[in-house]
Amino acid sequence: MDLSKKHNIHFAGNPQAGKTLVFGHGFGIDQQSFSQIVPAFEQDYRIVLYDNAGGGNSDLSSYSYERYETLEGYVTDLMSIMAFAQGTHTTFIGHSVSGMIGMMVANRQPQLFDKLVLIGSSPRYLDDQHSSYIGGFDDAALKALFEAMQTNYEAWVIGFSPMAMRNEDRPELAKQFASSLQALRPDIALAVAKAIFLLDHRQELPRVSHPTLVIQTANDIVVPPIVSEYMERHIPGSKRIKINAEGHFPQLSAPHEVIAALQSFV
Amino acid sequence: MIKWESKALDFINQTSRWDKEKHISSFLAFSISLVKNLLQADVALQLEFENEHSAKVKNASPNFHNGAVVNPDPVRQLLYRNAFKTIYWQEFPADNPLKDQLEDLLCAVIIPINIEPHNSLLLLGWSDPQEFDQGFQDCIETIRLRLKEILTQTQERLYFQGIAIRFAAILHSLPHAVVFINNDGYAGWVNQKAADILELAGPGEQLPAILSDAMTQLRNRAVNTEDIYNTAIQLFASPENAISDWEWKLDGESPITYRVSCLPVTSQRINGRLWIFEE
Repeated sequence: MDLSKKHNIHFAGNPQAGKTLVFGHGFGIDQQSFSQIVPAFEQDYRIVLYDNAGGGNSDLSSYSYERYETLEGYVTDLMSIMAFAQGTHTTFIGHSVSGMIGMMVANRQPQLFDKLVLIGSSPRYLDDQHSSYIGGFDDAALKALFEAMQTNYEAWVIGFSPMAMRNEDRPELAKQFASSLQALRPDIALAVAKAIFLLDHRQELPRVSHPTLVIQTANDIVVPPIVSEYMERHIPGSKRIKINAEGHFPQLSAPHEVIAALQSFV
Repeated sequence: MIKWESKALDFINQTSRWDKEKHISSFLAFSISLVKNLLQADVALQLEFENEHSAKVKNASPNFHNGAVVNPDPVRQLLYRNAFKTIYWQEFPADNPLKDQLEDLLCAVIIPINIEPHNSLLLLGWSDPQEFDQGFQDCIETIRLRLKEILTQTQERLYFQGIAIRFAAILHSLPHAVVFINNDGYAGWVNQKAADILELAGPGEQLPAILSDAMTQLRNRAVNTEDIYNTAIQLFASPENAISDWEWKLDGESPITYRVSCLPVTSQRINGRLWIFEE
């Protein structure tokens, strides 16, 4: 399988630049979600964009429920993409689940990245009473989420999109996210959602040895502030900033805020 | 006895004495851990080729390797280039497709285990130099044969357990009481509803003698015992006879009438009777 085709890999920016930015997208969207961010860095960075398996314009024929049952399949994919892209002095910018994927890659092959940026990422979504961890979801909420996706995917998309996007004064944003979710195969969307919402990678956080920026927005239904505070406490030397944006997709709703945060870090 | 022969025999002996009461999925983990200990390896793991796109690390020691996904094609090509024979690496080649699993190690043995439906390999790694002499290689080949048996047995048991779970779930969900009595006199089965009306301890496998006794007691509680008895004589006159809408009227605090069906079940492997009680 041609890796470039499998992940719809695109290169942008300045090929002569000595520094690379790699953007990893979250669930339900694709590399296009960074289209308002990329221009700000095109002159000074080589830029790598790709679509996660099952999303965007990735090759669906290579999607495997077994491979992507957990994040491990995505981690192996990102390591392959990095070997293909041959980046230097690379900062990985991961939105949502891709933040965790990038962190896991960094912990396995530290030489691949210099810095990490995690936008709306979570090491665990499910609350854990045993360790007093709050992830934002309880068992009943996740069960209801999966049932809703399984029984009526279209209806779930209509209900979930505005809640995740927020920014009610700009309904076109939620509509854009809904269209992106509707483009997914419902069976793959459900499998990916389960891989994400049932993950628990809290043990990865203390192992991070790279400078890390954690970006938090307001009113993020998927990742409440207490989660990013947890990440900041457990990732050695990490820095957390709250940007002036709401919802789970600041790269779409408040790109200038995200650009400013990235520029302050990279 | 030479050291390696003794280790191979030890592996066969210990895996033969494995406690069969334990869940089958622990058999392979136990066996791989045993190989690791006997050969004093630093890493031992199974890589299962799940499908065209996925190979996953399982039963690993140390267990942090578990769940890792490996791109299957480069590993398949490696096995193919070596004609699916055991590979002995005194040092790792530049294009080693198992780099992550062999990190910080010096040498390794890769043992392909080809079985259907999912091929696997066993990876053993050492951080110290190893002599892979003929005695060692003979030991590995003996272990390989035994591992193949263990893997086959594990996969078959898991497959049949899956089928049993699926059918039990379906049959227990039926609104009717279902009783199967095998003609061999040794096996019978009831679903939850049948266990309730026959006042058995629980659903599942039951001895036919217990089932017959419970069904006789149920019949004796009926107010139309004589009708039931006469119909039964006709029904059992031939093993091919079947009946449906047979009424068993029970008296008591809450009288109930069961519409009973009794059907012969005949296949190559099994002969018996299926009883269905509908309220």
